[in-house]
Amino acid sequence: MNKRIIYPNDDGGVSILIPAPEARQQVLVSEAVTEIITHDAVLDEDGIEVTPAYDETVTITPATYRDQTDDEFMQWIAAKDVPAGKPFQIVDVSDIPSDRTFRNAWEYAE
Amino acid sequence: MADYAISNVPRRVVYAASGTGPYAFTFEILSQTDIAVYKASTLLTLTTDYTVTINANGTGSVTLVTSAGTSNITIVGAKNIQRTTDFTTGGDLFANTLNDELDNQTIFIQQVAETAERGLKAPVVDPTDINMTLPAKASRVGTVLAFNATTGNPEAGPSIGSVTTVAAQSANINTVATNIASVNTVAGNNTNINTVAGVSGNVTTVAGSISNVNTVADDLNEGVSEINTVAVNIADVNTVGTNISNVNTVAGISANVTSVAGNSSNINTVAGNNANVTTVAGISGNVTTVAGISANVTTVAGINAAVSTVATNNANVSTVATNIAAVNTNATNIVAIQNASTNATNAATSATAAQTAQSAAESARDATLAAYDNFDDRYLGSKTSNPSLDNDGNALVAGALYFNSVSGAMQVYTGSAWVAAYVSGTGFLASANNLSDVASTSSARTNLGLGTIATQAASSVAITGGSINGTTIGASTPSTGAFSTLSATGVTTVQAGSVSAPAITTSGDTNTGIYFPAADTIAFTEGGVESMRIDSSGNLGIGTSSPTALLHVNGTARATSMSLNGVSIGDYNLYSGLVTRVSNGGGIGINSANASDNAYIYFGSGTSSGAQQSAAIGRIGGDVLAMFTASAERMRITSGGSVGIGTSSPNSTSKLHIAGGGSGAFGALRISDEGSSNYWDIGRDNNVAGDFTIALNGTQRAAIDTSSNLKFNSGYGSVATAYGCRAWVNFNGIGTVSIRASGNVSSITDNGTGDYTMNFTNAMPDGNYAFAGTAMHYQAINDHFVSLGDSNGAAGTLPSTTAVRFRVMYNNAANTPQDCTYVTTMVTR
Repeated sequence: MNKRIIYPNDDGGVSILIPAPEARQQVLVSEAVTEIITHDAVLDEDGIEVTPAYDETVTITPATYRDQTDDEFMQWIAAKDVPAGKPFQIVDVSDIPSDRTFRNAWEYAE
Repeated sequence: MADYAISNVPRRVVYAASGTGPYAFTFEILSQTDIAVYKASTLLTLTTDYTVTINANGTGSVTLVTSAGTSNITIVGAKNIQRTTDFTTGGDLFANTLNDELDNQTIFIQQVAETAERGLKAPVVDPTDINMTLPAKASRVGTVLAFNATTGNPEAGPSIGSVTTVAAQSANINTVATNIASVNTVAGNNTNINTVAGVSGNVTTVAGSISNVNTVADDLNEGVSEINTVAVNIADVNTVGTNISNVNTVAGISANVTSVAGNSSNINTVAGNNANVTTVAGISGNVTTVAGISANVTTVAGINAAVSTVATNNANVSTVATNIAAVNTNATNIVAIQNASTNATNAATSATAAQTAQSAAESARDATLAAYDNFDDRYLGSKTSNPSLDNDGNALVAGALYFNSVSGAMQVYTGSAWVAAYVSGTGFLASANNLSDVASTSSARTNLGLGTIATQAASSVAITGGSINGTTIGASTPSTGAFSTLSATGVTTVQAGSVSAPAITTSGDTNTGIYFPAADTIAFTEGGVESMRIDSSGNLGIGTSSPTALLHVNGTARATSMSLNGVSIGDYNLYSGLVTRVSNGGGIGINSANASDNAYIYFGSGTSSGAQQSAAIGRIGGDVLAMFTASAERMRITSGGSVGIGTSSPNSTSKLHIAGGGSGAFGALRISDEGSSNYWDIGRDNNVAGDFTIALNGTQRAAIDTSSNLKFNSGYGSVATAYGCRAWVNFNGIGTVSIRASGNVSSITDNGTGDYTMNFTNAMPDGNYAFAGTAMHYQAINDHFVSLGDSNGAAGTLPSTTAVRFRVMYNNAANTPQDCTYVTTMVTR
């Protein structure tokens, strides 16, 4: 994941969100298709009910999912982990300095 | 005696100015004189310029007498390197003295190491034969330090004067460096430059014609001016670029644009009548009304001339209106006249119809006369002799008839002559006389070959002698032929026959047929060997001459279908009963004829109905396969493939659904060890509703309770709740911060140096969880620790259900936050 999310923190600096690759979610592509089959009661030769009538839900086609795209994943992370009301930007990793000598002096630019 | 260890830390620290301090140092000293303090490059004096505080662990701080201003403060180990003790043979050797001496020695070594760190030195990976000794003073005086191109050892370089000279040209050198591309270009064009130099005369000539060259340049400049015009109007160009989609849209409808352009005169006309358009817009309601009656408008437009005429004669219209009563009277009269005209027309039509009927009647008359003439030409009537012409005097036609009144006979014309139309019946046998009118009865019998048979009663005809189809009547064997069919209305009796000579057989195969081996017994023989018989008891034997049942087959039997005790047994296509199938791999099955009927295989013993059906497998309620014991359903497989045990409605999304617990304390599912008595019960806890449990040999070993707590016995001695790690992360905090691996962590927030937030993918139930973390910077040990809170070292943000903020701290006196290469944290709840 070569993306990061930046937002201004309450200390006047900038906070950087590093997404965890394992956290990527799944997105529903199509709902499962089910069918309800109604079974009549089962009687023995003497007409006594052995099994009562019941409805059975049968899955015709299971639901299908896919992984979030990078954009979906980053938006999901931003919505969840950026403090409410904070502006944020999704940037490339290469846009963030790797020299952290003056990390606390970094500022958020619109 | 110092009672603390001498730590492995550098014995030097440099601080940016911060007033009078204090300025801490983390290396241990034994006395205040063990350090030296510099303000910028000035060595300060103890007491005069600063004081020293020594902590209990030997570290300490320096406080200046006056502010450092803007100068850095450097604290460095400066203990005098000297030996102050002397251990003599046979003398005292006290531990404290020895300890102090070892502390001194350690401090000396650390001071020397720190000093060495600040000196020039070769890398540890350099070859072992290097010699870093400086050249002798005489050689290095006035020179810069250089290193041998081969050995890398120090040597005297160029003189300082030469270096200074070069340094003085640094601006020019930089200029050349800045324009190195141009220099390289010139160098690359060396050949061309030399060529130009060789034709300098031509260059001079060109210079003499510089006005012409300028003219050409002026033309080129015109092109440049046009480019400049574009540049000046670049904003408009950019506007077009910004709206390129609209431009493309217009380009896509260029045909429409062209059409509109072609109609520009109309558009201009409309524009010129803008006031009228506005007026029409103001009466749009009326326009809509007129549009609704556009058909009427069209009609009126079609009679525009008439409307104009009416308008022209408006005075006459008024006159007519004034005299409308007379007009109405005249109108009534006009209607009467019109009716009279209609009547006249109808009369003319009737006359025409009468004339047509007359013509038809005349045609019918002519046709009748023609038909009569045709008949008259074929039947000529009564004549006394053969006529030569017909009644009209025309030639005779073949087939014509007439009655000869002289001979009393009808005559027919053959086309060339008249002949009699019929013959006389005189001398013929009359059917009414039944042959009684033959001339000689005896001669007639003889002529027919009937002899005396003709005089016998029909009910008792006897044939004496003779033969039928070559076989003498009364002979035992056919001679020259056989009857093709033989039938009898009474009993036909044959001999009993034998297995080799059956009584009823066929020609050419006389040892095959039917014979009667004993009383009330019928047998079939083939090639002289009996193949089937029905004995006197009515038993049918096939392959046996002594059947013991109604059907006794001594060998392989095959049937397309049959019935046992009312149950059909047969081909798959019979659909009902016990069926077999030989295609698609073959098989045997039990089918019910109706989809709503069930089909069972019963297992049982005894003679009562219930005992015979106590266990069964059956297809019930559609495509459901169920198993029964003790007349109750125990297991089923639904049409969707879900297996249910103990339930008639297994969960459709599960493959196996076991309902109900076992009869023991734990679980409905038991797995046992083959060859030993060990067994595991898995399923619900029958003692605690809702709990899921795993037990070994009847003793509970693990469980999940209704609160979703996982419990197991792992050294507890009994099953107890186990608390798991709910989130964890391992990340690199330096350079480009990145996560190596994680669990239930959506992201890490980098808030600043050593300041992070661990964000949970799934929230914690509350903030009262346990948080732990470790940090390591490269391979240093015990240098860092992780603590809760923010980077300011304040109370910090409390852990929440969604995130926890923490710091990675450098384990020094100030506990400053620091980035580390390895940071691991986890949350337990």
